[in-house]
Amino acid sequence: MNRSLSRLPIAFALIGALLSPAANAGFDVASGVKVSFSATGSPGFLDIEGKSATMTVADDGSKLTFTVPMTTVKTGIENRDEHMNDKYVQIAQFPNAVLTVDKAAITWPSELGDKSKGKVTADFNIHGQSQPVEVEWTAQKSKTGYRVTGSFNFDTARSGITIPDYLGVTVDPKIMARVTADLTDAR
Amino acid sequence: MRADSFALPLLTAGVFGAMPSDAAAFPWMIHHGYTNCAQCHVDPSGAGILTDYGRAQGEILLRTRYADGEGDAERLSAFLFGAVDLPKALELQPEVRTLLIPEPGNMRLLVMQADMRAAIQKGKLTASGALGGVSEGAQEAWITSNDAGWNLVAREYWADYQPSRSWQLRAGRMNLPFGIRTEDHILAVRSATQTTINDEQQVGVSGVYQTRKVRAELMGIAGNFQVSPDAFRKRGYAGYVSWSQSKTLEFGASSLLTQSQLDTETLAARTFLAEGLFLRAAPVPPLAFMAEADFLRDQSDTDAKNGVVGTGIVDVEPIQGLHVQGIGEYCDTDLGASEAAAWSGGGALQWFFAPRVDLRVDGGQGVLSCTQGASPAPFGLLQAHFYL
Amino acid sequence: MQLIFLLGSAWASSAYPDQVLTDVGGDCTPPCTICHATNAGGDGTVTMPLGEALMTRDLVGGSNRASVTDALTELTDDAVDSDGDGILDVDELATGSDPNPGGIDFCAVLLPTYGCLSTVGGPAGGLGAVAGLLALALRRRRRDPPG
Repeated sequence: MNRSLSRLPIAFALIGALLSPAANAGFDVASGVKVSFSATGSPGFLDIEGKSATMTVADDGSKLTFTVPMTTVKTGIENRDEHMNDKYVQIAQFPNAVLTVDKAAITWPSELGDKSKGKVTADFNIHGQSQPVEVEWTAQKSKTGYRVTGSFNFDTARSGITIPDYLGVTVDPKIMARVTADLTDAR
Repeated sequence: MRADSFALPLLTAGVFGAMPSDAAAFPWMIHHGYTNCAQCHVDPSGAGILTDYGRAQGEILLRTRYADGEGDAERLSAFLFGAVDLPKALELQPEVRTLLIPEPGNMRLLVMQADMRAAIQKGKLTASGALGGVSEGAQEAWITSNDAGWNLVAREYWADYQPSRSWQLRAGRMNLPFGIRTEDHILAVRSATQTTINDEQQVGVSGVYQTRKVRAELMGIAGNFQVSPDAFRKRGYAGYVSWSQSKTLEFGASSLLTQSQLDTETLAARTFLAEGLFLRAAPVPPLAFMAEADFLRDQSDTDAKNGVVGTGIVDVEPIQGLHVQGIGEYCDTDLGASEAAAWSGGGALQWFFAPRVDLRVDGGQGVLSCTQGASPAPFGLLQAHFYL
Repeated sequence: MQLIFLLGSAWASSAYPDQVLTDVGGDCTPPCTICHATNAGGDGTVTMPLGEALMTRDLVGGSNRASVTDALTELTDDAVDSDGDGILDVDELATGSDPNPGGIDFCAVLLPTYGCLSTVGGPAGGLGAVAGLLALALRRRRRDPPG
């Protein structure tokens, strides 16, 4: 075989990689993941917080997609977690909570230690249904990338989740989500 | 103390089983993230009859569980274990408490509580009450007046209107809203401030306010109408406000002022003020810490005393349902008198070993009920508690 | 050193004042403060010299009326005078006077009455009242619509 022809697949692969949006050649989660979903129960303003330390981010060049597997979200009471997962969020069918954000909507500081903040409208998908959410975010330049935080309110009713009701205690459908993570920037 | 001095009491308590402890109020539930009481208790400030949710938490969180999938919590926690279906609006809770005193030469059996508790909830209205019998004690809750034996008692009876999620208006005979509400009515902070949930309820009107972070109750006290004549009835107020910094940290402040022409304890005119701070914290999952400190001012026509009282409790739950407590207390009801101060210390082991039942052993050394002039002495206490 | 098995003012010996009156005679029931720190009584709260004197003569808490009678008998035999005024404790009690130092004339003191109803005559009456009220409550219980 002609040596130049044998190198074509590699060349195409390289060109393809340069021209196409890098699937994960941008941001990735490094460490420091804290995810929480805060809900209020009634009566008595029961404070329910589901926490997770597991999150992945996919970077297709234009959008960042943060994914939290709902099996990793724990409220501290096993019985409650089972009810949430099996009966309400139905994680067997809808395993993840996904937040998709336009990268361009975020101002990424360039100097180490600099911090920027703002609000961005993002898409939040839980229980297989999406809703727009307003995310308050911060991004601080670190040695390896960025420390990012985000918080937003969402309505479980808009995602088709039945209002939980257990022996007279219900949960307010309005929930606040908070995310903190260290992202590496491989750009 | 001889080691075998508890052998007979322990054996006897095991044979006779069940005993007293006061109505369930467990402030260490904060280590499960429960800073608020109203999910589990019909009384928004805690204690008393449980809601369905509270009963279920008794199964899920409170007691020791021995195997995975150990029975359905809803069924096991239901009234009479589900043998009788109650209307949704009705809660019933029979509680029987007896106390065996294994005192050498003076062994006796007391029925401290044989109550039927009930609550009816319909829309924004709730009514709750407790009616029962005691064989000794609880005089301030007597209905009958039998010095020599059994008495009918009514510790609580009140109605509640909840116009909004945050507000409630209550009226009737109620536990005084002050400090850390606990079943342990012999704690110095409870007895010295006259705010136990044993028999120191008062008739009055209260307003309750709750948000996610704040809970508060303020009660106007009209008196204990189960004591006569009217000169012995206290008038005043009691209240608290607390703020939850997080799900596992709560700070609070309390205030109480009562005045009576004659006092049932001192038999003289009395104006009594108590103001204090309290804290509940659960820094790591099996550990809860509760503390309360109160300033006291006790005034009669001829005398005025300032005092302080404090209680600190560390509760460790090494396995679910088993609580090991260390309790330390300081009590000085008359700062101007050198003999009034007393330290007390002890420990407790409380085990919620089966549905609706718990056993508790207390031991220590100290002065009981913050009694001025009493000498510290060793004490032991055996309890069990059961409700249906 | 006293070992206290039982705690709290919940277990006041409410029958004892009457027993004292029966044993020593006199016109009025003494208050609990002849023995206890306060009129609420309770285990571990005996601080008065008369109470301590009786306890050293085997008076115990609860409803052990016989221990009251026996202790008062010994008090008489031992000619105890807690306030040192030359009048024996049992004689002071019989005249309505508190025999402790600084004790007052308790016949002049108004004592509280506990309860809303008159005495119903013992354990059977008390339990009967409980049972009757419960039966009435159950009979009147209304059912809510299902669901």
